[in-house]
Amino acid sequence: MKKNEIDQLIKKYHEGNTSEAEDRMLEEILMNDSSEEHISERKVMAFFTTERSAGLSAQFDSRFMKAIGKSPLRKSKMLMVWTIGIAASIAIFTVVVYLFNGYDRQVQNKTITTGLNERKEIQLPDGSTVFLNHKSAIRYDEDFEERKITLTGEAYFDVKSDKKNPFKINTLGSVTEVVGTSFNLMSNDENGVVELSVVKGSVTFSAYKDQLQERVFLSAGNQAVFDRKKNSMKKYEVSDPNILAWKTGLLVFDDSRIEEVALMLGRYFDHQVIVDNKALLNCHFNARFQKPSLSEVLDLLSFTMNIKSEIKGDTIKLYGNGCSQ
Amino acid sequence: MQLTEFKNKVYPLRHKVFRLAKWMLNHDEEAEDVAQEIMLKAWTMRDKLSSYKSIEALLITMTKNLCLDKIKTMRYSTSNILFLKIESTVPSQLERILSQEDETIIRQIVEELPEQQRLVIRLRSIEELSFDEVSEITGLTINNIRVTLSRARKTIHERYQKYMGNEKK
Repeated sequence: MKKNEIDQLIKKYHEGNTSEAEDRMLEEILMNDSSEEHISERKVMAFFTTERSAGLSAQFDSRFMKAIGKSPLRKSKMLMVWTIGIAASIAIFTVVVYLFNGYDRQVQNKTITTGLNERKEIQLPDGSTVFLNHKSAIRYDEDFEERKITLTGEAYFDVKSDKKNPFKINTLGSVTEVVGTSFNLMSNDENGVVELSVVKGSVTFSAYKDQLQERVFLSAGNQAVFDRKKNSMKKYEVSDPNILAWKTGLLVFDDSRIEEVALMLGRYFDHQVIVDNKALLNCHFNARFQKPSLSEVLDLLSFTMNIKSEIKGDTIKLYGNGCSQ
Repeated sequence: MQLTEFKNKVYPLRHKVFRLAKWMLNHDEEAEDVAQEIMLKAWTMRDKLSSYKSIEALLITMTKNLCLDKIKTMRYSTSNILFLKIESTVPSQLERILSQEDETIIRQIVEELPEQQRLVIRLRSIEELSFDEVSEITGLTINNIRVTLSRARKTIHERYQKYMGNEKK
């Protein structure tokens, strides 16, 4: 959005005339802007968001469930009904707990999983396509009336446009909601991180954990990272051309720092890559691979920068004397 | 209304109810009790809920009234609201933008607004209710809400900018 358009929007905001959508857009723009210009608007918006983040804990839920479980559905004057009432209330309480935990629908659901080094392309009933990376899984209701999917691991989504029926993906306590677009979604159960990268169109990404309910709006070229452990949500411009490498087989390093190379190779080859010597952090790598083998990449690292490697089980150790600046 | 529908449409509103009660009563536990009471009321009238235009507006109005009753009978002190401790689960992106000091100052500025402006700002900017819903809760016309909102927003920014200007000197 151009500067004068933003100024117009802020003027409209001060006049009390912005719609809900415009308020959200303005919030989004100001939060991601670090200039001095709209600093007071930005801080006031941040204050509102902070106020909005206060919420109730899970204790409240159990208290509420107990309360509605105990209150009989119909009041009866007869004493005899009491025993039945108590039994019923226990039953109701059980049902309530059961339902609150989300086992409330008995529709057949379908689960598709991939093993090590196995990748699958899946056509969903609505015409959308999912490319599932290895060691991942998706689950959805067979009728797919609601376009809702649960994802474990990583997948690339090409979602068929349907404005009336948004497409939702649950993963690790986050929800990605789209209308029609393409994006990559990766969740890592071990470190509790969900990473969303948008290739085409726009996506709403929200995370729910404890009292944090954060929502970000992403368009093509944006990335959001939700960290469950740190309870944080961050938004970036995607500069990493290798996000889709697992799908395209194209691995590009353009003056990349060695930590980035290590991270990417770790992801691509499913190993843990450790940079063993700080001296290596000076090194920058330039290369382009099409479906490379691990040894191909390691050979080139050795050839160009004299970086040696050692593979032990799942771990690759990189070491050497480093590079001159 | 079945439990599943209640869970999806009504129960998520508990945080809003709690925040409004906390703000009005300046008391965490009392606010939690209010939230329980309101959610239970909503549960008992679950069969009638779908006939309301906005369940959100209904619950917020009920909360407002319940809190006003409580204030009348128990004479809660709302004077020290400025010194309320803030939640510690603020997302880190926000922390960078908003320091503790900023937050205290802005809170003070917002709380010093005339009562109607405070309420409208709270419902609209913090709880993100629609103009229709704010109108239903406050009884103001939409045009009136816009004017009130505009006055509040302008005052907040003027006062905050003035504060920042003083800080720099």
